[in-house]
Amino acid sequence: MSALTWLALAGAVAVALLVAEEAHRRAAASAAGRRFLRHPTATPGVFILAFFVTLATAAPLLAPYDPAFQIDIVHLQNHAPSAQNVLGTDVYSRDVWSRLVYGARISLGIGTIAMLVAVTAGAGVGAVAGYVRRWVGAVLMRGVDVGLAMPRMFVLLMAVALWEHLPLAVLVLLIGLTGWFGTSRLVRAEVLSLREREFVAAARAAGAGPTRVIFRHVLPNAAAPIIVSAALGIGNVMLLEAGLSYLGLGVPSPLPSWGSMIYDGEPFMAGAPWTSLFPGCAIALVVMALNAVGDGLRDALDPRKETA
Amino acid sequence: MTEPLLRVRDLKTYFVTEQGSGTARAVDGVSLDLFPGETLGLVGESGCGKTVTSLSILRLIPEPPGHIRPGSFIEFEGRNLLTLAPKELRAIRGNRIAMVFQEPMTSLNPVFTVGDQIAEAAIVHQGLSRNAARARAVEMLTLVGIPDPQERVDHYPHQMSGGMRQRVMIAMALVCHPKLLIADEPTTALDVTIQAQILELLDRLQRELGMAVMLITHDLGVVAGTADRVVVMYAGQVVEQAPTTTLFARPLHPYTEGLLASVPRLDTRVSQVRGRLHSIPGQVPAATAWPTGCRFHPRCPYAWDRCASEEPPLLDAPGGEAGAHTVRCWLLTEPQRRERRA
Amino acid sequence: MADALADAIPNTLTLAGAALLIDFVLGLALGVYQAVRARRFGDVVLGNVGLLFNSMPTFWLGLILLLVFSYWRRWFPLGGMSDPVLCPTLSTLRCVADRAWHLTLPALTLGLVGAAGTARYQRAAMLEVMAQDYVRTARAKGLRERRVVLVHALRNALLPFITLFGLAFPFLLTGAVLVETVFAWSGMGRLSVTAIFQRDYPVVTASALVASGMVVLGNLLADVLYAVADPRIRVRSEVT
Repeated sequence: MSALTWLALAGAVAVALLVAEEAHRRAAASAAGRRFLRHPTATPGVFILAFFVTLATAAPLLAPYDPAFQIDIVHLQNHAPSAQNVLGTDVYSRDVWSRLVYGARISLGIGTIAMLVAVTAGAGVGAVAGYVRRWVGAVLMRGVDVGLAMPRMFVLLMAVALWEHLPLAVLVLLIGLTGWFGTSRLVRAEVLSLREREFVAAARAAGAGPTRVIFRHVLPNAAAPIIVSAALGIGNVMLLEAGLSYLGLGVPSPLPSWGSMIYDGEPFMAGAPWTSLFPGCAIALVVMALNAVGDGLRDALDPRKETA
Repeated sequence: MTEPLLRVRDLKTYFVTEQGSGTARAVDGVSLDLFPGETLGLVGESGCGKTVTSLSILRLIPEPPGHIRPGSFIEFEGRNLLTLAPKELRAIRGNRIAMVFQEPMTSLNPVFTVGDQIAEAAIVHQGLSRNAARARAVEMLTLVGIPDPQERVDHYPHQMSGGMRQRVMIAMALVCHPKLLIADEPTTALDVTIQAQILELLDRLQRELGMAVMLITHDLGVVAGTADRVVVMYAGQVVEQAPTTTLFARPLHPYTEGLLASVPRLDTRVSQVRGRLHSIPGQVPAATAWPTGCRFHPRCPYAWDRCASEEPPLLDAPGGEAGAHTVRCWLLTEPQRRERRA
Repeated sequence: MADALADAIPNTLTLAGAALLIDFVLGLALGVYQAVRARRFGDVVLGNVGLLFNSMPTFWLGLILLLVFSYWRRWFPLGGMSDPVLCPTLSTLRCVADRAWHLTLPALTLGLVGAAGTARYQRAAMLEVMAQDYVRTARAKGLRERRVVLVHALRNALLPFITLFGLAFPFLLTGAVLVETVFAWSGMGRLSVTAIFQRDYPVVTASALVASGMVVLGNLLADVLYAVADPRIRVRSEVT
């Protein structure tokens, strides 16, 4: 790796430290923030997330090689970590570090998008189910129960099987659509309790229709479980995507999602463990950070549920 | 003069609060005596430290936020409770000193039968066999006046009413015939009619079993009927201590006066109180910031500058033997100031 | 097709069952320990280790375990369900032991990751129970702390634990797909994956349905267990 790349890496670390520092400072200023900080892993989690997001954003600066570039198919296949390739090379003599950096874009991107789909669907359904008084709510929740009963992986496998050449975008959408059930339950519970509050009555007295009341007034106040679900949801999606890619059914090679990197490297685990090890570490680190931040947010936004 | 059964001297129990609002000095130098067979009433508003005092005696204060300060002294039957080894302390809890708590709803374990919970103390402390302990549980249920004890012994707490649950708590506490029963607001969570029944029960049991009772309550009416002596607490301290009849006839601390005056009486004429019920102005201060000097002075109608700067010690009331009636108030040194307020 | 599926189901059940056992026993023990030692060193360390295990991809853990314990150390077989030569079927006791030996690593993989989540959940449940009044009453009766925690507190904390049973099934079945692939364990998951590549769609659909059925059954079982365990539900309240 060239000096410039090392410099860029140092820069990324510095940026992440700054973000974590700033977040810590701001958190200490409010009561909710202090509850967040009571988790010792919360701020390191912010740091890790900031670092990987920086990696993903500044990928061209941080990756010395193009992720699909095969450096030297003859001599540098499955080469151990060296000064030139800090994390080694894989079976196609591609630089693992570069693929990891670009892979951050793919894995984090898929995670975020699928989570957004899931959270939107979950919040929407949950809000409607909680707000509407008649049978609609009960029926929706039965549907949610069915959804919760289906093991996500099997449903996704079914989708992949039934759809010839499933486009990646659709797969991401499906991952999102199989994951909103838990969120909808939480949101419904929150909305049920918020429904009886005065500001709802005030809005309705002012003539607002149910849609407006739900989206403008109730949901913003139900933000807490939604935000926590989102943080934890990205982690779950990333693990799921990694699993699918590992099976060869998710992100297709040569795209470097962290899961597909593990898939590529598995046959060579014995001789070249680094090809599968590092992507797995990356996933573990990011999901850990998401869980830590999610826990902190849960305590910060909803002090009733004391988990520590 | 008999030896006291329980001697508390200068008990201080402090709690560390989060977010640095300081240490809450919930109990700040409490001393009291309890004699065998007597009923001592411990009275005060919520926040005055009476519950914490009782929990401190049995060392039931959760240690991370709270701790009993060194220098505190609690002696029971001649033994220092604060220095006892855990094993010996356990031998006293539920056995020589028993406690009944305020909320019978949540103080009984919902997944065990009432009989099991009563029998447990007998099995642990007296080594009874399961059958013998069960028989004893039935005895206790009869003692506390629960109908159909043979059946009820296998019931779960949720199958019983509040009053019955409280009786079960009492039965559970008395299984080993303790010498001292601490009852923390035993009737507060109950209906008025049930309250009277429970108090009567406690009174009867006390006489039958010859035990001492520390009755903790904020309700003066409860104390008037059942206690031999009363200790009034405010802001973590004892502010007045006297035999019941004396306290009600001649309260000397302004706080006690205020408490007694706030209780509406049937024979008070409306014109006497000018159409309004008396209440003590102001609020109980926070335990993290007790007022300087006499802690009651911000709310006291008689206060003068000495009260704001110097904290009064417990002084003996005039007339009567030393220690019988003590008051923490400077008015005892300057009784003429009392006339000021009509 | 039906035969293949019928053969695969018990294999997945065995794996899931063993993993469930590890998950719950370890998770319960750790959760209780962490609650009792809340915020002290043991709790903090275990909490972070648990977070790590909860966050890593199960198949990745499987790969690592395989690498370390089967390849470098040769303590466990490199995959598969049994020795193909000596024990093609479960005929003798020795073959049962052989199956168990093959089962260890895959069950551990699923079980460890599950245990991390279970321990977190159980820790929270225990902490909540230990803050209840009836625990204080138990102490006031002079019971030993161990009895207070393990009898009075735990018995109540087991109730939310049972709901975990229902939640564990979807997790285990999802994880089974991946773990079976890593360890070449012939269960429903592996069958589905190979079926996809062979374009054998009915198998995949059938597996999905069976898996969902298992989840529903698991939830039902959890409901029944809960009703049995909680006297407030089992014995109807008749307040007189």
